[in-house]
Amino acid sequence: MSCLALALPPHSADAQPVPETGSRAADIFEAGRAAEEVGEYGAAAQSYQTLLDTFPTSRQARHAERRREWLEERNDGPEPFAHLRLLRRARQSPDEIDEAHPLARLTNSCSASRPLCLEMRRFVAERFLESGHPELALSHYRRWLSEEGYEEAQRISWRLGEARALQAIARGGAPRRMHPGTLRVINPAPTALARLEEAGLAHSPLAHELELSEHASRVQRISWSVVGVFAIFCALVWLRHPSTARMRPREALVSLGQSAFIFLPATLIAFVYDPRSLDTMLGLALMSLLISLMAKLTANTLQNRAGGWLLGASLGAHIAGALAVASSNPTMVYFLS
Amino acid sequence: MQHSQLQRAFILALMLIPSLNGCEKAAISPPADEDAGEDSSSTPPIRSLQYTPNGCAYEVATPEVRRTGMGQDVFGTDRAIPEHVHVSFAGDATTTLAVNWFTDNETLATQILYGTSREAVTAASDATDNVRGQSGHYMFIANGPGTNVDETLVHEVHICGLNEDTTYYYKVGGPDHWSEVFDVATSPPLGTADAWTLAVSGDSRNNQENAWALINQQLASAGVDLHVFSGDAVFLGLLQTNWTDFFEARAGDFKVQDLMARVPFMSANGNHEGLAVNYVAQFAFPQEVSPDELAQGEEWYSFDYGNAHFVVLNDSVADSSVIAGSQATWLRADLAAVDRSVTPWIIVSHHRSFYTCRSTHSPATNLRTAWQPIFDEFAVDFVVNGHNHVYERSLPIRGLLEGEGQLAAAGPNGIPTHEAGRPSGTIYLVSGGAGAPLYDVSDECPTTFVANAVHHYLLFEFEGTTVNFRALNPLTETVLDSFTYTKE
Repeated sequence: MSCLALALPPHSADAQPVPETGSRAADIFEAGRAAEEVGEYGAAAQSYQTLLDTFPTSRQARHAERRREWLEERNDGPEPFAHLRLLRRARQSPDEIDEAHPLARLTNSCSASRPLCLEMRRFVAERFLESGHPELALSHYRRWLSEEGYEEAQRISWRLGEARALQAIARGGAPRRMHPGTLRVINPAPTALARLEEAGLAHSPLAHELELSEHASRVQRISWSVVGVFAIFCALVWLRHPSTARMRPREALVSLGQSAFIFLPATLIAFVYDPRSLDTMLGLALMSLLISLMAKLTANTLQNRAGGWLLGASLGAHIAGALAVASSNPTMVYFLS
Repeated sequence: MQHSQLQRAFILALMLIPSLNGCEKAAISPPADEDAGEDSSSTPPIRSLQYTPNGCAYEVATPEVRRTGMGQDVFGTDRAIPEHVHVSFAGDATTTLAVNWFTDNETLATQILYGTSREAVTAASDATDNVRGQSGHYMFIANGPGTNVDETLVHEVHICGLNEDTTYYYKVGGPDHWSEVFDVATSPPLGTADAWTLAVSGDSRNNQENAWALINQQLASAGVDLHVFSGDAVFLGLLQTNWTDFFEARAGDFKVQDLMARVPFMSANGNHEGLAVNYVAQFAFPQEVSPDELAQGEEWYSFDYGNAHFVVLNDSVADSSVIAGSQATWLRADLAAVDRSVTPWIIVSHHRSFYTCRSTHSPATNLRTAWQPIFDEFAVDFVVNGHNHVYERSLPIRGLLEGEGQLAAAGPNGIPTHEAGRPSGTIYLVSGGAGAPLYDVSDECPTTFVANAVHHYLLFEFEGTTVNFRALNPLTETVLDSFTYTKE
């Protein structure tokens, strides 16, 4: 049934000529926007309604419909659009903190089910954070979190705000920064994780990202330590037996060949699937080459005594070296996690 | 001897690591497979499909997906009603639209009903005199790398022969399983002097502070006509769960779909999408394949909207020689063909910035060398990027000296001046603040006019040869930066 209908040519719905509405519809829409710009929200809503009545199929009509609905949803206050005007003035005010206080009082009494109330709350909290008053932001976030009737997404948003306020307080106050509103991936991560946990956000995406980053950094620290210990061990052996610390060129070439064996196929795979990993592959090959050379030179120096220990140490250093390089690549960390 | 054997085993184990990155790279599709969509074995072969949608002047090709086929009236019982509905342009923006969506894996119905009357479309259960219908294709894509992972079913339909500058209402799905009715508008006439609004955002991955949902919510009520995205929508383009988060972000009652189903969304490939099949399959962009181009021609593309020409480039390429090679060749030819009397504005979008100041990622100087001379030659007005999760606006820049951009004459508020009708320079914008973790940035570089590490989005209100520009913070809805610029 539907297939038959679908086979019809696609034009007839639009066969009727379209009136020359563009400019007029655009003019009315612009009049509405201009009224909004100066806070004349009632006049703006009227312009949008006129546009909808006059040019219902114009491109601007759907914008007008959206703007009219938007205004209707924000018609709060003792007078029409009173709270929206207050918020507008605060947004435009260069004196950030003074304009936020009257709004902050309003946010304590407004209904959280009203979109304007949520927008005022977001604005107030951000202004407090930006202007170096995280304790004020924190007290507001906590008051709003104690209310009932929020959607989970909104609650998460307030909790994130709470975590940011806590973080700002933990930094010893929030001095005026060049980049207001910044939620950095905070360093060190354990501090940020503790704050997120305190704010009930231990399982948030941000916490997961920080955990991964912290885990990768821990793996890197341990891995580099293992490689470092192996290098020091090798150096001590060479210093103790300098007369036998030699390597034949053929042995070095074999190690080089082994590294090339890693690098070339791995590079080919990376080249085809993920060019961003090329530097990681090069790092893996260089790490393998260095450790192989150190192990071979040490084996020569010891003249094949303690071969088993050296083998184990070399293998451990290889694994540690590979982990150190791989954990510096976020894509690999993501997969390996 | 024992040592070298163990070493070889370790080397082999190391070689397995890159296979974990097993990207399913999208490639130019082979001709349609007659069996496409019929194979239901547990490890189906990769398939692709090519066809010309009814009434369209262009051909559609799918990436290599697990299975694909034309829509059928088959419905599942789980999530048969379309979700993640979003709209874009794959052809002429004045007369065509493309719609993509997601359903459960049993629902093969891929239809659209559309018309200029909301009431008629709402009431229709099939095509009528006032409501037109069109059928499209479905694609099964893997939810992640590897062969033993679950799959997701996405749908795509193209409609053509529309009227310019007109609002259409539509619903997608199939009989008794329709989505809600959405409205969307075609581009105003090319060369229009009427006002229209462009939104730009980028780097929404992670959706911190719920910024991605808030941006969409604010754009939905702001009267935006077109949304250009500079890449990195998700953390990893291969993971379908990331795309689910992207499409299902919400702020209160508002769903991201409420904007994306109504305002055409045109994206650049970011390094986090990596041109993954999940990205290519879920978005429909112009598919004119140029030499060396992947993703059925969607890797880089251009289109006209209103009185602007848009170029979307890919700087996260599989073969770096493509940047200065075939992509630059295509870019030069594309810009040379622009009629500035019709589209006086030229806006270029790609992911990595080549003018950015002391942030996490250094300026991409290879891109600067390859592309800026072309931007300069054709006097591109704005270049919008992301990658660094900050907001930055450059001073007008024209010319390179030893690889460094040369400052051009600037008027008040850092806008270009004009000489013989030609703007003094191009403004480079970094807009990577749609939800990704913010980075530090500085405004102390000579080319930087404004820099701010804050979540944000951009609005360009074009009216003839004037643009009113604003960068807005979605958390406070305050203006971070603004200028008005009129071309002579």
